[in-house]
Amino acid sequence: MEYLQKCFYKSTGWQEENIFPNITSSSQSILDFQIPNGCKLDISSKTTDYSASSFTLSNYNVINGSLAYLYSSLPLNNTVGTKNISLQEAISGFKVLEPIYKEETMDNFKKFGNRNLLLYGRMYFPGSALESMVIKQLSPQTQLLIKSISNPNIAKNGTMIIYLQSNTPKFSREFVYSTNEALMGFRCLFNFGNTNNSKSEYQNSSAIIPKLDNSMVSIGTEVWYAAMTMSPGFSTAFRYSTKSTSTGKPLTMTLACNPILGQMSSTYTIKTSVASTFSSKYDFNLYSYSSNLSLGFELYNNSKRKSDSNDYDIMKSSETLHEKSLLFTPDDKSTPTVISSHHHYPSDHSHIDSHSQPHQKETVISAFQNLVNESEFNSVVRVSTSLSDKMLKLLWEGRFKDFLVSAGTRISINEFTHQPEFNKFGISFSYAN
Amino acid sequence: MSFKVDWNLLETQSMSEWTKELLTEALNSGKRPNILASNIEIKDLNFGKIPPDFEILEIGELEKDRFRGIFKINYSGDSSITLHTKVQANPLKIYHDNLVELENDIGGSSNFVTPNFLLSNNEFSIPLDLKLSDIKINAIGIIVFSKTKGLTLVFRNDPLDSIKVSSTFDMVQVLANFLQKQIESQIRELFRETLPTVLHKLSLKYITLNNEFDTNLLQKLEKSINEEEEIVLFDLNNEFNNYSMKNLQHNLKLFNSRETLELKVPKFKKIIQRSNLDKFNKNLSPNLLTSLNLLNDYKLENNNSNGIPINLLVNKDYNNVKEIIKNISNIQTNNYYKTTNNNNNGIELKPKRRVIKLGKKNIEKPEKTEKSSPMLVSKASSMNTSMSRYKKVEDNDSEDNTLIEETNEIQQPKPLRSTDISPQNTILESNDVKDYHPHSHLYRNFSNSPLNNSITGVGIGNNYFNFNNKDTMSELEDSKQEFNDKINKLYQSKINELNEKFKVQPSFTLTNDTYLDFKTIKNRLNDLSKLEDKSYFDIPPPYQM
Repeated sequence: MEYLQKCFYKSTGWQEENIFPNITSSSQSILDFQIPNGCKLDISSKTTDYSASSFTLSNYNVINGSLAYLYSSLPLNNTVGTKNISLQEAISGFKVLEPIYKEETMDNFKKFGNRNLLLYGRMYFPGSALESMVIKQLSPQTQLLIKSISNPNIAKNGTMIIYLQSNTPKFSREFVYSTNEALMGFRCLFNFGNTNNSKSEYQNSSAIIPKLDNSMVSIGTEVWYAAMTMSPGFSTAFRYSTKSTSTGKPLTMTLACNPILGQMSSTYTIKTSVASTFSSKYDFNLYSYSSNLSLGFELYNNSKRKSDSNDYDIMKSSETLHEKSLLFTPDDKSTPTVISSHHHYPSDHSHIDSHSQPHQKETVISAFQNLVNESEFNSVVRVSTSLSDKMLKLLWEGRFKDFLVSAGTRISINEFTHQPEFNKFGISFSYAN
Repeated sequence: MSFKVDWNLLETQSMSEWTKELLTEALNSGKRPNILASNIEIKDLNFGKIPPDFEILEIGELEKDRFRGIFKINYSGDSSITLHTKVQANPLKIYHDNLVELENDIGGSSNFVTPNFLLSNNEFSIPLDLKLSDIKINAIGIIVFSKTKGLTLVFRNDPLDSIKVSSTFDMVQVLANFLQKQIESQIRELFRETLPTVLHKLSLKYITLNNEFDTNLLQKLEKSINEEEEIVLFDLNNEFNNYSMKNLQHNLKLFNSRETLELKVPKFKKIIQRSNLDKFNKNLSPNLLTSLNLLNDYKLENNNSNGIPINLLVNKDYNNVKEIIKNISNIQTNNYYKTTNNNNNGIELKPKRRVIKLGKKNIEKPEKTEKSSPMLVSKASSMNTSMSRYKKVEDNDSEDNTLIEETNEIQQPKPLRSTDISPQNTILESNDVKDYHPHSHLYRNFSNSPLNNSITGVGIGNNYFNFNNKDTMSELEDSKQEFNDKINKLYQSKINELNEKFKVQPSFTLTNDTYLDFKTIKNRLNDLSKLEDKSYFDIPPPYQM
């Protein structure tokens, strides 16, 4: 379902990476990944282009399950079942950030029309709790997101959270209101760099300063206030994302700080090779001098080059690529999309090659990017550890037959007995077509 | 039944360690609230020097495997406890955790309705030291123990009177007040819920420990069955294995020697028998002599007689003698009150004194008074009939002429009085009671005296052999009605007399002939007697009624 939501965002041209809380998503996906709880089975199917349903069964605490339906006013053509999906795409990992171009989103908006709507509802059946989500696109750059859960057993029978988000390539802002303790929040993110909004201008400038095109600086802040408990919150963050000029490997650095609590957090994430990513995080508190160092990496294995036999959506991809190849000057081969993995399918590897071969000036950056996109992986292992928490997290995700399987555990040292113990263990199977 | 607990012994290392462990476990049981960032640990535990007052109010049931009692505990000591924990100072972190918890509860995916904070929900814990001192507890509790169900403790009232909470945040008045309130309510909860459950669990643990013996027995039995061996229960009971067989046989022999109807039983060496105990502790017993010795430091040789030593009273200064006599009278009165309060079902009687009015020409003969109250005398004497049968009267030369042979049925007791004493009796200053025979009152008093202990009684004509006068009580039943009437008259006359004496109006009324408002009478009498001899004896506390 989250995947479908992503697909919806892609279809509407919504830049998920451009909102403030996702400023550290790359390092978060490697350091703070979610471990499934207990045994969980998730079966989803896209009945039509506009609707999908999902069924979940898990044995966490008691045997429980849920039933979910999703409706989108926009045809979700770009979805793939678990059988064919690329692992990099199914699992949120390192994301290569690219400057955004306004035109493209406008294109999407024009293409699919406005008033795009996504409705989602899920019923958990032992407790009959209901969760629902509405995404309504108000304008090309504005959307309203309402999420709520409802259950007679919980306090005030449920809670609701409303996001009003506006998202432009240059600037994104967001107003949040949660009914729980009347929490109000404002978040904004500002992207430095090229101020031009059109591709042609960008291309002109990049011709002059060719190395700047692949780096991106963002700064953002969030302010919270819970009215009922009178609790304030504030934090600000800075992100620098670039690609190494010598090796072409992408890296992201972030620095976040919370002046109220004196908390500083810096992360450094680099894709060290095609199949591996390394991330480190250092936390420090100015008031208590407590510090924490977290390390994590992800490792893909069984890599092989995708063959052309992969018949997924070949026509569409080739079309988009054709457009791109027409638009781009040959010396700029870096992928123009933000989430580079999607539109730029390696299934068209030969196609790209045929384009790139004549131009000898292909950079190492794009070469690396292509290599990543062309690789197909069977499984991924993620390991993360934190020194002050004295814990180790392991997660294995891979493809087993047509299922995507993810199994993980969390081991930590008991603070009293000083014996390692398993805190959490879980395995989840998901299938979608 | 009494317990002796040395409060200072609680200060041992192992005891405090054990308590700390127990408390830590109890405090950290259950889910930790989100406001706490770490577990609670006990930094310091001090039992203090002042022990609590513990009073058993009532024991409802007392059997081998069951106990039910009500107790009262009072504590205002100097014990203190210091707890250490970390509190979450970032309210948004608490907010976030609460929401995540809520979503987990309903089984949903986390972070659905939780706004994804970046660094605003960062953990920020502040260490907190909390010292609880000046604990004042005042509680009435009920303990029920049964071997199968364990121990149950319930408090009847709110045990906590007050507590002083001091913490790291004392300079912030709002926080300090908040903590004080929270902790008070928490401790009330602890007394109401946590403490009973912890005690219950503990008691169950000990009960299962005891049951281990049974399981041992079972195991041994099973083993023996397998080995086809003969097994005796005696072998299993470890207790008997601790004694040598020789010792046991010796004991058995001694025991069998006592199981006889023979009058002459063999004596044990170096063993004091209970019936002879008074021979040994006579010097310590509160008889008249020892009491006098204690009071006035008279260096009296103990001649083992219970009479009043005449050498105290003769050839001395009159004032001195008067004082001694007052002391004697005081001792006797005290003893009398001690006994009558227990025996007369709350009816308090004044001790009767023989008074010789010096101014009167005709001293009333005891014979006449005896005739005027035949019932009372018969009662008194009948009480003593049982006694006199067994009584070995040491002084046989006591004057028989004071005793009246009224009817043949009534056997007159032989008074325990030496001839030496008789002269000093005339000097005794006491209340003038005409209804009584001078001797009969003495006997009546002491026949009513309790059969409670093996110590010898006090004063002249005491119940020396401590015979049970229960059988006399049955005889008493017959004449109870008449006796009551008699007492009514007696009281009336006496109180009228006293009232005249002190010019005080009577504050009680007689409802009917048989019913007496004894309480008011008693109060009145107490007041009067207080006036009379305030300095000589204490009025017994009212709860003995």
